[in-house]
Amino acid sequence: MRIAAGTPEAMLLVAKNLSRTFRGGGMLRRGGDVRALNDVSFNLAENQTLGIVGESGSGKSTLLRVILRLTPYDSGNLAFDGAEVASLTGTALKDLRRRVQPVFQDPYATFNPRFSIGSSIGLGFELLGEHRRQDVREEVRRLLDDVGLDPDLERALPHELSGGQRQRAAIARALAVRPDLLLLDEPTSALDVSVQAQVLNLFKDLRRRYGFSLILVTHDLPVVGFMCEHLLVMKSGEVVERGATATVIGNPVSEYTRTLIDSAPEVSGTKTQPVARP
Amino acid sequence: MIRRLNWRRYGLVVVTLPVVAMVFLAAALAPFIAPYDPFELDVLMMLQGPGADHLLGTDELGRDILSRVIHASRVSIVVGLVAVAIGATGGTLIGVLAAHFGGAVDSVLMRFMEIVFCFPAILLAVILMANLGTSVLNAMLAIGIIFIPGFARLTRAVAQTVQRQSFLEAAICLGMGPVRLITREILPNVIGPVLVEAAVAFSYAVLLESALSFLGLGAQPPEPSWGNMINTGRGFIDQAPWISLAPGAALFVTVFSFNLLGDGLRDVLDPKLHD
Amino acid sequence: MTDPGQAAERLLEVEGLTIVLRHRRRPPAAIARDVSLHVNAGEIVGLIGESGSGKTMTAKSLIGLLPDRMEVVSGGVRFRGRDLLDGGDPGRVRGRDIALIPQDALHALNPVKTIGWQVGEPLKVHGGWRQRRIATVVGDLLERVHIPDARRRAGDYPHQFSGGMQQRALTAMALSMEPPLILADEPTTALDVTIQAEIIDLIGELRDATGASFLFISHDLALVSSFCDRIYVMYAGEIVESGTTDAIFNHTRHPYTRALIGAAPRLAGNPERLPTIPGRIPRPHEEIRGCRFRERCPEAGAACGEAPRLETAGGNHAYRCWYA
Repeated sequence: MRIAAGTPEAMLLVAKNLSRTFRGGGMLRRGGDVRALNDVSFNLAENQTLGIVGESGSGKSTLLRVILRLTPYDSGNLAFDGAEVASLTGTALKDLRRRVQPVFQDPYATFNPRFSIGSSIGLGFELLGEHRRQDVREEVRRLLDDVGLDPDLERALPHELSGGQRQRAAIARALAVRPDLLLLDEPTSALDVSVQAQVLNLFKDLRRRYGFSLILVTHDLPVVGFMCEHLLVMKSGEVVERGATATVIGNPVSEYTRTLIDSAPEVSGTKTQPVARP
Repeated sequence: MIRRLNWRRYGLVVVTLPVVAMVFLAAALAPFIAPYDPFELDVLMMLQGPGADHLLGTDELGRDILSRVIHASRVSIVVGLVAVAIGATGGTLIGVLAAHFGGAVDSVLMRFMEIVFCFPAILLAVILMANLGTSVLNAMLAIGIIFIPGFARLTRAVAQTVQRQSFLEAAICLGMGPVRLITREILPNVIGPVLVEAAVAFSYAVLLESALSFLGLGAQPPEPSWGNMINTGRGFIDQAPWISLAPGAALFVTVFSFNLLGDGLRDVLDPKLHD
Repeated sequence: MTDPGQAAERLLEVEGLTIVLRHRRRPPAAIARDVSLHVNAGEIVGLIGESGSGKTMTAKSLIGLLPDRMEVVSGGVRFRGRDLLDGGDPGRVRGRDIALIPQDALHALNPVKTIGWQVGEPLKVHGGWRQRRIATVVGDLLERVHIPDARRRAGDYPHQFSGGMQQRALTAMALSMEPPLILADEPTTALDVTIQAEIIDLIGELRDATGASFLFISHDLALVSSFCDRIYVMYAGEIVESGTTDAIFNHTRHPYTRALIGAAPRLAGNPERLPTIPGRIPRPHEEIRGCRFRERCPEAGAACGEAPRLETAGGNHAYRCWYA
């Protein structure tokens, strides 16, 4: 295990004072700018799991898109494996694209409806430079099997799959390029509890087998409690609290984290109303 | 084993396709199926009503109406196909580029499209043809240009929704460049609605061409087209209504069936209407 | 219903309700099978199940909102002893006797009408009230669901309200006719957890203040466990277990309920792997001999080839399993 040895070399992702402001002038926020990210700093060591928890407007989705380089940041630094993400071009950018893979929330929008599941997953192999059709197909079938799907589903169209199956297929697509970091955006919030349990277990199994780091962005604190060693709590674009998951949940320092913990529904036999603090 | 037809999905197309095919066949095989030469004058037989010799009667110069209607379909079909091809290609290109690059590219392209859109279609065609000269070729070009903004708007709207889907972001994160992104991920999703629109635009092109011919700007006499035939018949509407009615009916059936075909294609191309 | 004293406080009583989906080529498929449940006055009852369990259609049938191809083929629904399915106009029941808080707040509100206008709508439809009186009542309603500066904000349009406020406005709308029973169809799924907690608080508070009953439909066992008096667990169209919240969670009988409780992750003390249920929920048209959970059940045995009946374990606790 190489958990946060303290040396900068072991760090896969280092964010320092990241900020991102969306220019306002919309009808809702009267002319004001929205600070989606404000001075966000955190580290992620290789092979680590980090949960980013926050409610809508917390900036957690913006942070995720910044790490994927789908949206730029205004100031601060973001280094992936020692290289500043914003300045990457050409092959270096291609390399980042390959090494950081997302799994998105909406299982219905996650695949191009016009292509079979197999061809969507196979795309990753093609972009890696594997062009022999038979090899691609074998890899796709092996991956489908790895994520617990029937390999024959390679021919299925996205709408023929259930939400849980689609999310498994999305994981397969992400794994096709052998990423070092998987970014999960609410990957189970659209799924039933029993399906969620299967998918969460799958992430754990696959991490053991493939050895990738993982960032899980969610509003669901119990899911982070199950999945992640480290936790970052965000509110209105700022980091409110961070630390080892067990420590933060067991002993929250900030008022907001405590509210989140109190509001999180947990299975219990006793009728205790979740406490709201308006 | 014969699979049962999914009527909800294919019904409309199954019904309209034979009609559409008939129109195309008539155009392609006009010289072989037309009973008479469409240019052959027969002054002794002018303004004959429908009868055994001339199924749909004759016009003021004694030419066989049925033969002229069949030959006229060639003009309509060619104009429709070429105009739609120009409009769909140009419009799709502009729409997809505007949606994908956004910002200034989007603004410039779409403002320009809106300017074109502002002119009434027929007026724009007349203006274009006044500058290009009256010929079938120029009619096709003019109608095609009129279609570009419609296709551009449609594809831009579709491409923009695709742009927001997570499968597109997933593709970007796999390292796909803009060219592959457009050709592989965006275009396949745009092609369905464009085909539907094309069928409807085709019927509109046929209609527009007829209007232009009616105004004397399209196919030039003696070359028959439905529009100029209707125009000629105007002068004889009391004595010989069939001169206008026959090409009018042909025009109606063609336009109507292509409109229905457009609706039918929408059903067929929806991947969610599988059973 | 032999005991008249008990019957008096029964607000809603559903008995043997079976809903089928008609299909042109296949035989009709049962969406809900022989569903029996009741809601007493002043109770908050949870109806929970995963997608495909039939919970939503069961709820919709109560207010006559079933989709076209679905139909109640047997069973009865009584509201205060009056039969709701036997002809009559479901519109009369809707809003006045049973109100609905829908799931998707933004789409449930008309974007071009003010919040106040929409909250007052049921009063106009059912009461034929005067405009000024409606305005006063609407202000009171919005205050009751804790919308700050309620009277002024009644003039706002839906997009000026946050998600939580929209859901509060819908709750106010449901309350407007002071219905004895309110169906809440996953009213918090689209909301943030802290806002969800506020809405749940509000429901408890409204029950205490008005004596209204709630039938709370949800897929979230953990959420329901925090505030419901009694819970019905549905699986593949059937109620597999029902009882007080304490009975369901602390004296669980049915293997499906147990699996569902185990599958939910917790804040702390999670196992290395979450227990899961193999396979998937059967579709309505799939005929299964015997217990409908049999193929996924870790405890299935020889008896499961025959469909189990709902057994009573004393009190309100009932379960549908041979081996429980």
